[in-house]
Amino acid sequence: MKKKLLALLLATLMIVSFFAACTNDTPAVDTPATEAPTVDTPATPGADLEPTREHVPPPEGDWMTPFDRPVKILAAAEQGLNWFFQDGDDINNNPWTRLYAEYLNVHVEFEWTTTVDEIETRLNLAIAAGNLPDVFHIPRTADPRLFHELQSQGMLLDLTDAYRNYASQRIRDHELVDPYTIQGFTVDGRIYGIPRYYYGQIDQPWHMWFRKDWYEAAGSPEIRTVADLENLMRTFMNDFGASYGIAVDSDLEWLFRTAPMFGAYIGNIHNNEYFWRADETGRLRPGIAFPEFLVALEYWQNWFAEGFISPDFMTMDPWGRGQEDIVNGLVGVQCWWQWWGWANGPSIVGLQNNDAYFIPFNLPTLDGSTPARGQIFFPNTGVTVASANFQNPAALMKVISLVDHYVFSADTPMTPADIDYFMGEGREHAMTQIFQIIDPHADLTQFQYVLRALETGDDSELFTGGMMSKFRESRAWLDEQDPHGLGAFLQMGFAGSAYARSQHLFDHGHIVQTALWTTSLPEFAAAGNTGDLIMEEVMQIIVGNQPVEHFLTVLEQWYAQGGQIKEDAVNLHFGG
Amino acid sequence: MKFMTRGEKIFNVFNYIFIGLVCLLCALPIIHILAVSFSSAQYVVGGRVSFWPMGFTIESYTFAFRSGRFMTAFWVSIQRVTLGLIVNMFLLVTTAYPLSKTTQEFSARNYYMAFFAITMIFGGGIIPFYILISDLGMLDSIWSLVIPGGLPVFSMIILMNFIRGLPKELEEAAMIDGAGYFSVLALIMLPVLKPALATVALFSFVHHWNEWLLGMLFMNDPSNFPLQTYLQVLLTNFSDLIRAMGPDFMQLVARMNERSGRAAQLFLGLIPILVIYPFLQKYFTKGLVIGSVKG
Repeated sequence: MKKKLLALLLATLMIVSFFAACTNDTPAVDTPATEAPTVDTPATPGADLEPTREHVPPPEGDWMTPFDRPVKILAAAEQGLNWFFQDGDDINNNPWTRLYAEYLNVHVEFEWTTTVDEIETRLNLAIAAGNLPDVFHIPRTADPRLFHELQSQGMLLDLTDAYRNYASQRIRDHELVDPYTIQGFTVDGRIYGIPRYYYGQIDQPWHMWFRKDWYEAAGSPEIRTVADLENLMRTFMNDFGASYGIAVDSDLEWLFRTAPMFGAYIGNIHNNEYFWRADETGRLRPGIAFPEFLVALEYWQNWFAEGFISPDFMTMDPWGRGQEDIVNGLVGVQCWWQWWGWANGPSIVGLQNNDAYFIPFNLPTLDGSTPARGQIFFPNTGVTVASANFQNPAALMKVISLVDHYVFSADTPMTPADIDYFMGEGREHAMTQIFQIIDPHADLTQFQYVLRALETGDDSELFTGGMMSKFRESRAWLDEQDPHGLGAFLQMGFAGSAYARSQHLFDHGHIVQTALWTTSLPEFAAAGNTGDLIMEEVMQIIVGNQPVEHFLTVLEQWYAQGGQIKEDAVNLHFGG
Repeated sequence: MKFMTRGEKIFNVFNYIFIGLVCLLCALPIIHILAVSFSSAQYVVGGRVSFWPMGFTIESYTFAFRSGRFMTAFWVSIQRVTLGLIVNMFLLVTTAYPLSKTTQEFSARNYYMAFFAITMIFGGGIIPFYILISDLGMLDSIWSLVIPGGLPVFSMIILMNFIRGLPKELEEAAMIDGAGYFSVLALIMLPVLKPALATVALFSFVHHWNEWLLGMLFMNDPSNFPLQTYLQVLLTNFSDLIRAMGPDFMQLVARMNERSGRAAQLFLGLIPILVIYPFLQKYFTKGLVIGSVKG
């Protein structure tokens, strides 16, 4: 009887939940009504004709000139599960697809979409089934060999002529900012993929983040040297109840990113990501092979002995215990990305107090004469390619140019309502996808405009959705102490923000860039995983089980176990 | 009342304690998920939630229902389970009955049996499987989730052995009265097969509810994902993705801070199984030993 009652209760609960949901399944209650943009669009020629995938001669004129008859692009892309569409819209019918059709007479239809972590599997299946879509995107997360395999097997279209003749000047100017990235997708002088680029190198340098209320209570000391940093950690531990000095987790990335303080540049070994630069002979070598890395190891070993590093760090999951200690007030220093505010801000403010968030500073150095240099890694986020059978590459270039015009250009006469229509609630990410070529200056421009608007109180000059949202979020923190605004505020909302610190590094040349300007090289496959050896042995050194000099032996093993292959490959492709 | 020796009493006490602890071990993760789903984000991120909600909120459930994706996936799973159960049960009964016959009655019986048994050991591989479904035009269709597993061979063997265990006289009496094989199956066999049918139905239900790979392979649009595929994606390792994605992190961070939201959706996904299981439990236990009676 009891069992039947329980089953009845649970059944009732499920049915009630289901019907409750069905009565209110609108994606978002406060979604603004879908309104046509105020941007003028030209009349669509040949509107009575069916869109075709057959070749249509590109029209005379610049990239804005529409095709004389409707062109169809069959595409594939990644799609996030948390992207929202307005009522009646979907991936094939939304503000952006309507814009392509109305403005350029290009009709985009997605043959399939999948999540970013599954796109490689779906591409492999599509290749096996012989039905590659016209246009698709190979994300940064995919195997870097995929592009080269497709190209070498003749499955990709040569986009060179279309790119040169039909892409907008703005798109082609990205080559001037970063001439090397597109080379990675160029074979024998012909372009087979348009890089998606990145939001800007300004978001790459890591900063030393200090807990604000503790830092100010300690007298806001200037942290120019490593000794200053150690004194601050000691103060936090002695006077403010911190259990240890600096947040370090089990994959050591937060610690490895402090290496520039000692003149060492090493990347994140856990991910087999090495930082490559030339030694005094001109040979490119990984950061772990430079003597400065031994200095860093010596400091880290001392930090562990002094209790600056948690005794439990080897078992601390970065998104579990590592983050818990930060928001629970057990540590007040962390070396981290510029987006600290989004990751930890709302939680630490909610659990501690409104001044308990962390603020960014440039990394100190041993002598304190300059801040530590910011490390720049290869930042490209993916590549847009077309299958060899695609007939209308000019249409692809026109759509790419149109998206760039709307998302990044200051020349687009968009009102805040238009920006909301095209980019609100993640629509920019959800719908432009493979057609979005990111302006490599986007974040720098955004930072400059948002900071100026916050300082003057005049937001009339903001012209992209990103600028508007960062401005609104920063104001929400400043005006209402809304913790969800902390992310934008700490990133770019005041003179001491993360981007302001990064800007200082760029302005004064305190930047160092890895020589490996790609995600990987074909030869790396033969080298296998070389990171585990380093990780294991570095941990033994940090906890004092091995002397620092032991790393010289480890380095020999690293070269023998595949490091030499990597170093030779990097020198072959990027040396000299 | 049955007399129990002192030893039996002690055994029973320890037995209850041991079984109770095992039950607790099974229940605690679910209780933890439930507590997390009703807790405010900062307490979850701070690792302060164990088995009781901290900063009670139903925002996670509101999010699950409002986002639309959860309910869409839930509905796809309902369709899949319903269609899957119908197809499974029809094919199971119509396959198990003839295969329960001896080779004297059904001469090709062993060949068919071997044909089915081979599929339990060998598969064609994902790529041929995908090409087949693609060529059949079933991509992005609910049938791609139903047809490939239309005949679960393990369940068919359970059902077949159950039929073999039934008295021959039942069927012979019906035959003497003029019934054909279809009449015997529909009017005689089905009513007495109830326990075995309930067991294989439960297997089928659980399989269709929990399976996620087919959705990932065959659904072109994530809005067609069944619930378990949706949940699988939701539980992907975010920190690895964040590192791999580099600067394009904002979407991922937003998801990473939705641990309580994920917990709510996980719990909602559990409810149908919790609802169905009590109804079928007695058949399930009975069904588990069916296959061991005669093989």
